[in-house]
Amino acid sequence: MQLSSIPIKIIIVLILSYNINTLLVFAAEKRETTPPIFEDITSSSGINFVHFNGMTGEYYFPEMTGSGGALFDYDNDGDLDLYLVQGNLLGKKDSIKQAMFPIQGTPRDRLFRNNLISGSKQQSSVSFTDITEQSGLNIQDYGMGVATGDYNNDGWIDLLITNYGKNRLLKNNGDGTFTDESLVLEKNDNRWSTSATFFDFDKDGYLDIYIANYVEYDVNNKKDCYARSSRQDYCGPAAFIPQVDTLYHNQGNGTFKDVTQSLLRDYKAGPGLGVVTADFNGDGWIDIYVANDGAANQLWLNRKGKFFEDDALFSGTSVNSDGKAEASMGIDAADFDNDGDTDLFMTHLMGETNTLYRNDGSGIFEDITQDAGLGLSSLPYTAFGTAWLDFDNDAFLDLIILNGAVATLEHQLKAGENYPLKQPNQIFKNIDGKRFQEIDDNRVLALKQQNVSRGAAFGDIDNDGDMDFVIFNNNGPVKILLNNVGQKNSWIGFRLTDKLLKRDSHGAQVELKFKNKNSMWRRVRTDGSYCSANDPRVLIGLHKARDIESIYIHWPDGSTQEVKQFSYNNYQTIQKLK
Amino acid sequence: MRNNNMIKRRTWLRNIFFPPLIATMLTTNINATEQSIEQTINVDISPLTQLPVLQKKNLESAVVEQIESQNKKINQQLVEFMQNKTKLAQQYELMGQLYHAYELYEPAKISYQNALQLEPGRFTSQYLLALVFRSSEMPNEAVESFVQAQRINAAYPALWINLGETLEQLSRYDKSKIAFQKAQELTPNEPSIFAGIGKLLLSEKKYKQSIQFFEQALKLVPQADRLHYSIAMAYRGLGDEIKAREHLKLSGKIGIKPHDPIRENLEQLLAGERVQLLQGKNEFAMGKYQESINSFQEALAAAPDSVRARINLSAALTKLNKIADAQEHLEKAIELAPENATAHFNLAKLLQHQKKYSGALKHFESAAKISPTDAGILFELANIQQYTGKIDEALRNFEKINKISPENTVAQAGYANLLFHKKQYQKAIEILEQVNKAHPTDGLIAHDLARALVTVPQQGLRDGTKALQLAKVVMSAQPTLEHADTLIRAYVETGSCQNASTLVEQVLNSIDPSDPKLPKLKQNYERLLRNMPGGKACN
Repeated sequence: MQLSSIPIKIIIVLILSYNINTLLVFAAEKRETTPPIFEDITSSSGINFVHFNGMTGEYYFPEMTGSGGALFDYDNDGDLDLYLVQGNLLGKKDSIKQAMFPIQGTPRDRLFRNNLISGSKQQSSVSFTDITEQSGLNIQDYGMGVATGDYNNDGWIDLLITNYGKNRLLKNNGDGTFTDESLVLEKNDNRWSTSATFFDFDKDGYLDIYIANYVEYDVNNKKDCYARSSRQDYCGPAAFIPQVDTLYHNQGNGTFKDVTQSLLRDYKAGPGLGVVTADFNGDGWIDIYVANDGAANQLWLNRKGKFFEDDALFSGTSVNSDGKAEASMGIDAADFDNDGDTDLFMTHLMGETNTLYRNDGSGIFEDITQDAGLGLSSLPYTAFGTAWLDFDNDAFLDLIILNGAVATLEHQLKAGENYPLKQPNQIFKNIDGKRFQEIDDNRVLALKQQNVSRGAAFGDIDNDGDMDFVIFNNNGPVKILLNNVGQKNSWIGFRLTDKLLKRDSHGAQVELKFKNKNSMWRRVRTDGSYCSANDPRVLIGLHKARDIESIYIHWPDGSTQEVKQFSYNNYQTIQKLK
Repeated sequence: MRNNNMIKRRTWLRNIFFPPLIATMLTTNINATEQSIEQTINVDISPLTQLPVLQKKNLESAVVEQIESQNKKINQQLVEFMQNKTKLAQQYELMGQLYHAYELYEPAKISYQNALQLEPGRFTSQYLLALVFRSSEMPNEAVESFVQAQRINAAYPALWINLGETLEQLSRYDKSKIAFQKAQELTPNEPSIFAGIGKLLLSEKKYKQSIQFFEQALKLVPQADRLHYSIAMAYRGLGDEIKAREHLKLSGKIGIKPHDPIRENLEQLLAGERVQLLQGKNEFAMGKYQESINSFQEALAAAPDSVRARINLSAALTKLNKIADAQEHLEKAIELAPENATAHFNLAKLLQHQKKYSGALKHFESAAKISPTDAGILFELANIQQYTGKIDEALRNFEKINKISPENTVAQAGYANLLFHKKQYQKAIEILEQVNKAHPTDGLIAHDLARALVTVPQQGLRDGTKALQLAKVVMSAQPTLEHADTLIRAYVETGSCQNASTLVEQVLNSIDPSDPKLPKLKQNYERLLRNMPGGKACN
């Protein structure tokens, strides 16, 4: 049946009038809008990296789980460089062309140097240079994540790359190149590793390593799983045997010994995806928290460096309030309520809320997700990477959450989406240390773009005193988001190093004491998020105030040092005195 | 091919600018290859919403058939629509339940909404709509729908329990408590109500009271060991660490579900043996073979003629080495569906495993006849043909595979080896060289090529240097006896006497001295080392 000419004219008139009205409304809104909090500078930054997951329609489990990356200063020039972890082909495929989403060139990890001029603040445009070739790196594994730390105390940050397959330890030679020292890792076998962290659990001055391993998965002997609708879909971790994580002790002679079974008491393997280290019970020893996917999480309390005991169940951080294990993915630890202890936030599967655990200071946690306003908003999404960061430097740590489904989203499939796992990311503003409010307007459009986000690395990329970050999208482009607002408030930043050890002092804490007798604690860490490594510097937002009375550094060995001279809106390097 | 989008757009415009004299069907469009089942009927059904297009791709045919069948019922009912709204509403409700059971929530929601549009007082549709909202992570909409449902029927306890749980999720604790109390008025001894109230009290830090409620629930369902966790947290709140840890030791994975016949009925809608089949497949994937056998047997009980159930059951039985039973089910499956290639293939594999090669060959041939372009079947057929001496047939099948699946390096290696066996040395080596060039990291090909280059009888085709290069790489990646043997031959071929001797010694030392094959192997290597190129011997 043909439309008559009269209705067509009506349609045109209606469409025109609608557009004019829309434009008027848009113009009015534009006048009132505030500038974006984060600006996507990827296209102008020189980063042209697209994650390749190698998918060929076989629903191989690893293909939708990666990956991450690291922000770290590989050349000690005072700015954050970027390491990007790449996937590869899986199974018996030989050519990139056989993948559903082929990329140009050979898939391999990449290293980008930040072009900020040394000592400068806020260069007008942030840019990076691809230095993969000249660094001697040619990593073509099926990569998952990366951890950063100077394991040999030579003053240069090294890398641990976690893979579906053997992991790699890349020693930074200090001359812009890296050497593969993977052989120093005992029992470095073909497991599926995800997140990892460098930390010194026995206070011997050398950084040890914890690696979260996922499940036993063989692409050549894969299992097929189905949604209830009978459509083939990705399997969940329950279909596989969980793999044993790895706790490595740094022997101090350049080698690492696997001490998992000997030091983790009554160890039971879980499908590990996230790991974070901090002193959760305030006894002066760094503990380990492991987020497991669909199995009980573990809180390994450090017993004076001699062994660890899992007290997650009693601490209230193992399962949800119904006693049910949830699908924990990403994780971060920080003092969100400024009460002097380290709290936990972890991300979960669709249909499960993300969880905020408040620490009472003794390692006993309370799930306050609902009361904090973080429950409902997380139900529709599967979240991975996450971080506590004070995006507006108002002295309260806000939350960034990276989302992306792990099973086919029917509505996207119906709409013709060829990778139907895409979801928007989220940012929550910490109102008063008790409640959070999602920011869901034009100011965060760059963050809300729908992708299959996994890892994210956080740090001050342009050294302007606020937290920027990099999002690592599975089967998608990496995104660099620069913070436009944080530097408008006061802040103070530190790099805490140990002169003797020549490296960042992982686990050291900064205590700010204010004239009103309040205090704030922040710690040096590179871990957290998912499969990623963060800026080791400590950046503390102060809102409008400049009323710090004193500053103390609590070093991992238990000693305390007062910082007598400090300046606002600056980074300063504090070296441990002895 | 018709452009469906265009048709739909036109329909939409037409409905705006003309009164709905004619409307397109509001049932599901089964869309597989852009074909759409659309009909035109002469009734005003404008208040109803069109169901979204169902993506048939990858759905099992039984599921699609089931949805299509319900679709037809709605079509029939639409024709009688003016006469009987109730019947149409019933059909939409059924359609909703079907989608709901398969967790396809969007069309389920629309189906229930259509049923309610036709007949607003349908409790089941309203209640299930609320559950769909809950499952779709839309708790506010779920609460609204539960409230509507209780206006129709306030005497259904599971409604109040679900409402209570949803309100608790929304942190509306007072309202949640009221909902649980309403449920308790209807069924005073429902354990999930005690658990729900206990949870509310725990979140209010009323630890002592919460323990009482959890204990009551546990008394009614002692196997619900997950409740111990909640009790432990309450004791922890009271500062009683000892009791808390005692209960943590008892906590497990079994929770409590409310009695809910309407929800339970959804399971019955899943196509015939589908529930058990799906469950069995997932158990199989998790390596729980005995459990999967039980599920597949249940599927078989529900549908004795189910070929899929028998094939899956035989696979699980095979995993537990119950070969005779597995074989019996496959034979029965073939009896029921002689044209099922999978059944033939699996039976062939099973017979091959039992070294019953002639039977295996017969079934591989049947499978290949049914699926002549399946490279996997052809490969197995070619292998067994080769094994049983049917070299020419095997060669033909390898040629077919190479055409169908040119990237299959294993098949190419098989083909080349067979040519070698047929003394077509040059062609065999050429193929291996081509494949090796295209797939330089393929160890199997590299090894076969190296082997061919040092064992080919025609001296002109031999290339010890290249073989040595390949064999070294293969050996370093995978040090097996076979690879070592090839490397030894490559050393001999290139005159590397010392290396050959050393490796021979290593190989012989690695073999168990009591192995009966050892003397013969020793003899062979001695002979090999005596025949270095140029007639020299290694000492």
